[in-house]
Amino acid sequence: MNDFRTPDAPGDPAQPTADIDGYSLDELSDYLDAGQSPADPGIDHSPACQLALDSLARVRAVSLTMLEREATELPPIDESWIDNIIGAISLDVHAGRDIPLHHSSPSVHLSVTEGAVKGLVRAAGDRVPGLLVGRCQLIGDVITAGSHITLTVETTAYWGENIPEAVTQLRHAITAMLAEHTELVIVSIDITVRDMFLKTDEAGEEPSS
Amino acid sequence: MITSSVELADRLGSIIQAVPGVRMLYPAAPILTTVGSEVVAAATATRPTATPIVVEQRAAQLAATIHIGVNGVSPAPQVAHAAGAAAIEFLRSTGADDAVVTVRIGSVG
Repeated sequence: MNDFRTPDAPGDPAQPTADIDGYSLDELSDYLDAGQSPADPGIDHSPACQLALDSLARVRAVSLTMLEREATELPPIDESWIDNIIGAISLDVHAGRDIPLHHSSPSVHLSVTEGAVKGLVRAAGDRVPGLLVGRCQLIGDVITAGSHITLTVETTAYWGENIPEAVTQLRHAITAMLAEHTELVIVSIDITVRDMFLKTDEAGEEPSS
Repeated sequence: MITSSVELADRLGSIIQAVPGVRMLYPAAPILTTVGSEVVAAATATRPTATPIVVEQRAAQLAATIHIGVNGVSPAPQVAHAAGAAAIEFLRSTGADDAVVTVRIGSVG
């Protein structure tokens, strides 16, 4: 099978992962810290930067909860999973391949970027309590309409959640999201839970099991 | 009467931003090209392209490239269709009967 990745597609080892339209993840993280003010048009007008900011905000919300709990109750936690997810963000937010949308006129060419589709997958993850979406990949010839595509998604699960149920919910949420906003023919969604972490509720109670 | 591709792109940008479901316009040209054109514009005291839409002559055809973010409320393909239709209608109204339009969605939601 041919590899239809564009040069800046995720997973391309030649891709400088720290560079997102000219900004590093650290710079984007600082921008988030500053409340995205003063406005930086270079970031605000870059879809890749916007997708990265969304993802950083998600990870930050989860890791903050963990750090608060760690400070009061838990021994130091291996935070490599956070590094894994942040690494996935820099890989996934690039525009990647252009995925065609049908139009009857030969004068009009419509497409949605691979990066936008991965953003949809992450947004679908937000609908499912208990899972945080990490890296995702579209496997197949997405630039040819009607091709059969497999989606792989790596996730981190909260300890105590019913993982099979959460995975099923995530699969349904992703299916619905992609059906609404793309014309991809998804034949399989492979979800892998790579890590688990503890969560606490606002009152700091023990996680339920 | 529209006298330049910059003015054409400006007008088209306004039309696209008014399409329901379009959240924002992104630069259609690569970032470095966009920055470069602004540097050149500043150095030569000429007006930089105010809209991120690229309108150019390709062979005998006028071609417009539009990069948008959509709000996710309406299905993205539906918004892309509406943006494409609005662009074609506008360009044809200027006499570009064989214009070609490319609409690329860079973010949803």
